[in-house]
Amino acid sequence: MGKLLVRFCMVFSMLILLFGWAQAKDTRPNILLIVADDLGYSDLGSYGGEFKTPVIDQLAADGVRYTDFYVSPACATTRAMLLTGTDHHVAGLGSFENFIPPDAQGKPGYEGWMNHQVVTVASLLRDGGYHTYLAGKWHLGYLPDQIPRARGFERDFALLPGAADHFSDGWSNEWQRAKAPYTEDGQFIEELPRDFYSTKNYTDKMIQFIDEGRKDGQPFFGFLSYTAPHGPLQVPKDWLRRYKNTYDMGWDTVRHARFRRMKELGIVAEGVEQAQRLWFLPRSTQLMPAVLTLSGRKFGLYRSMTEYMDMEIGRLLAYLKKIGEYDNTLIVFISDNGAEGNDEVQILAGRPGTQGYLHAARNFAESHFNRIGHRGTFAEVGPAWAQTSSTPFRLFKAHVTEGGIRAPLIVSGPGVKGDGTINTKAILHVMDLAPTFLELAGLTHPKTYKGRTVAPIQGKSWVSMLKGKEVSPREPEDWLGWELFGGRAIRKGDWKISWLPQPFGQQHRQEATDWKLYNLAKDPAEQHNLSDQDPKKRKELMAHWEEYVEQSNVIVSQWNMLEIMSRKGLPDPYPSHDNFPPTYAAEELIRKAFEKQGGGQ
Amino acid sequence: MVLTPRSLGILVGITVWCLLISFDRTAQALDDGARAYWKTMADTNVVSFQYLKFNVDSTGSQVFDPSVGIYPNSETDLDLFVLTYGRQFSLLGQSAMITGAIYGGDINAEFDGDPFNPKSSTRFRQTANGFGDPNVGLVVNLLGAPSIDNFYDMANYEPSLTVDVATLLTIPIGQYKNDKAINIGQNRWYGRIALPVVAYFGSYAPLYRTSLEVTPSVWLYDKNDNYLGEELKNDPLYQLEAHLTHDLTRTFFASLDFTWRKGFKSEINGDDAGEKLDLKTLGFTVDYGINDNASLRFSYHSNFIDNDEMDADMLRIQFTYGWNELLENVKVLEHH
Repeated sequence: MGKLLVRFCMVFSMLILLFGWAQAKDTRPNILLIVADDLGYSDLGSYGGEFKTPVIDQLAADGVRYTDFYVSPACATTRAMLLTGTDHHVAGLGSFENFIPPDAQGKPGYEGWMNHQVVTVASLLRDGGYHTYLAGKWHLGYLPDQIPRARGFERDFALLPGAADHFSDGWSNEWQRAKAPYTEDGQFIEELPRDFYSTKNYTDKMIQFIDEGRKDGQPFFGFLSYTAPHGPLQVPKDWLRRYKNTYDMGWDTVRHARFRRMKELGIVAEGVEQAQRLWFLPRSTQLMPAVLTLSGRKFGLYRSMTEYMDMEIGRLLAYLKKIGEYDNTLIVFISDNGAEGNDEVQILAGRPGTQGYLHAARNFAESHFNRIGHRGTFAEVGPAWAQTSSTPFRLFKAHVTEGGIRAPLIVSGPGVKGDGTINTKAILHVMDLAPTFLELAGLTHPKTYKGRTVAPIQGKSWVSMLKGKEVSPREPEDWLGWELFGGRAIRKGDWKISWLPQPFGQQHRQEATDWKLYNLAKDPAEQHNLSDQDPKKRKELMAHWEEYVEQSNVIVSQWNMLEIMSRKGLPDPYPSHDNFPPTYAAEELIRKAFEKQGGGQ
Repeated sequence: MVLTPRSLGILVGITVWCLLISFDRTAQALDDGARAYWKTMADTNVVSFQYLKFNVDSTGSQVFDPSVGIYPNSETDLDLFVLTYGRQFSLLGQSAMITGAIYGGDINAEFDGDPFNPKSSTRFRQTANGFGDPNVGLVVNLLGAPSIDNFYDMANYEPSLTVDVATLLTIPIGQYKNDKAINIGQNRWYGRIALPVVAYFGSYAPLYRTSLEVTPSVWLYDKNDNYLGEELKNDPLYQLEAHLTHDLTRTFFASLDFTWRKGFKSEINGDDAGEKLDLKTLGFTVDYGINDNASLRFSYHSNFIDNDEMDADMLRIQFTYGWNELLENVKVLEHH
């Protein structure tokens, strides 16, 4: 009897221990990834911008800012790399669904949606015991096997296309779809809430997901994928006119002020130049004040959207503090690409509006200057303000120049040694996020996933860097590559080569000589081509380009989107009105005058 | 109270005039009209031509003193045109406008009894035609509408609430015969001071504009020292005009209109002549913008709120043309 009692007690104790173990809180950190959409490099206060972003700036003050963080020139391609740790040409986003060149169509890696050759970090984290939540933009596929639920997210509230009205599903930027599709927890949504505003609702949903999932003590991976400040520029009523006349002075003044502050902060090194104003943009002082004020109003809306997003991030962080999870949450804030300078080619052609946006604007949107910012309206900042947002770099979204591919990155949270440090040494890439998150979660990337071979991770984990053990995850011999919409680039150490399509690249269009070489440490704005001074370095990096093409499944197309748009749209030197310019009439008058005077030929 | 026979004509004239006074505003005709105090760029000129048709039937004793046993049973028809001009300008940094208006046409009135022969019970008829008293006006903004001097100001003009002061003076040079009970002119100076208030709702952009416009005002009159050989005086007339306007399309708006007039009690040679006026009218306006410069407006107003003793109906068709030299030049540039 005594032995029996002892055995019973032992078994009972073991059961209690086992139960207790099963209920023990998983101590791995939560991961909160916040992605702004089309936010420029220099917009945030912590990066030298005049925007009031106290919440994000506080994250920077508590953590680390990085100056050399790289993304793709556009959103879907960045998101594919972010979630997979693999180059977008492998992950199915060789180009955007609408822009896949004819000679790449049907080829693996150019599906136009995130293919199944890759596995997402969300899937792996979910399998590894994390709750996985997505609130916001997806842009990686529309079909049931492509939506967030199918790609690793346990809970989702997702805008499937790349942009939409921020107050409704009234239109999508993908012009063949008149209504923007959304999903919630894997189901397509019939109607959005009546009081929907993208940034607010995405925050609400993320808080809801975390709140409903936290009872079991598992950590979460939250991907808060804001659509702000992507166009159309829309913001709640109280925020509409906060900066109505703030930008009446025009872009040049704002750009110079930002550049000065960036130097003071140490975001940009002393002695470097900022990019020249693009040749097709006027000096702002050349414009009449009415044009400036209306243009500046759009940038004021863009600023309001960014500051509203900052406020909403603050609401989420306050919630995390309230439930005691803030100190155990790694927070990563990035932008997905450079600022949106949409329409630059069409502006060159005198026809503002790309096909999709023009269609949307014509059919679904109101653009009166006193109406922009409201539901159903359509406004974007355009290239002049986009270049301001990209200070000090050249160009903006859609280009492989630094203005298109360099983005703000702030990391804060447990295990991050920083306290406001600005890291100017590390060369980081959005593909690094997936391996970083996996390492933090104690997981590894598999060679196969659910019976299919998956592409290996190309990014590098930052965990050691975040702990302060190293300044960069990359060695001097490491390089990074880019290709999108015809633009090509390689960065290795301080050096970068790039090849830009017309009309931004060379006019004679020779493959070899049109590659330009820059020393980014001295010339981050890519203003001084050093190809002739250092052809050996250029050759070295061009060899890496060949490697990149091979390794990352890049198809160098004969069809270049930007060039084709440019050639189709370039205007005549003069409008073809009758008698304008009146050269013929003037010649006639001169001839008649000579005849009357008996003059000669 | 003694009402001389001649007072009858005055009172008929009052009723007529109460409808006519509204001609006195800027580019609008009846009352001030909807959106009369909206601002545009300085140096903008507006010319308006309108045709109005009134019909006033009085069947009771409301406006006639029953003690004298006269039941007017009057019927008055008016066919009038109004030509107005206005020019927006800057005054001390605020939006301002000067206006001028002339009007004229025909009035046909008939009623029971003869003001010149009290014993007669025959139906009396009289007509008048010619020009009325022209007027000049000045509107100055007090609050909410700084002068729109250029495109920059125009681009930034998004009013929420405007308060103006509007003055008007009528010059007694119109058609007037002192031996007639019915005239278009009044043979006296008179004027108005008003405090128009406009509250704007929605975006200040075509298709989205809504406004609530309330204009309290008072009319003040000099005496007419030769009304059928006698002296006519009137108390001030208090007027409240309101419009609720809304854009139905980018080029088309509608307005619900209300006007309330009270006062204007008459004295002839120091004796009361009839009761105070108390007239409420309700109506609507629709306005179609033909192009950037021109618009066409139609209004209908009636006193059906309290029409037990009098029916007053008004129809108006108005064509307005506006231009601004700067804007026109920009159009030329745009064309090229």
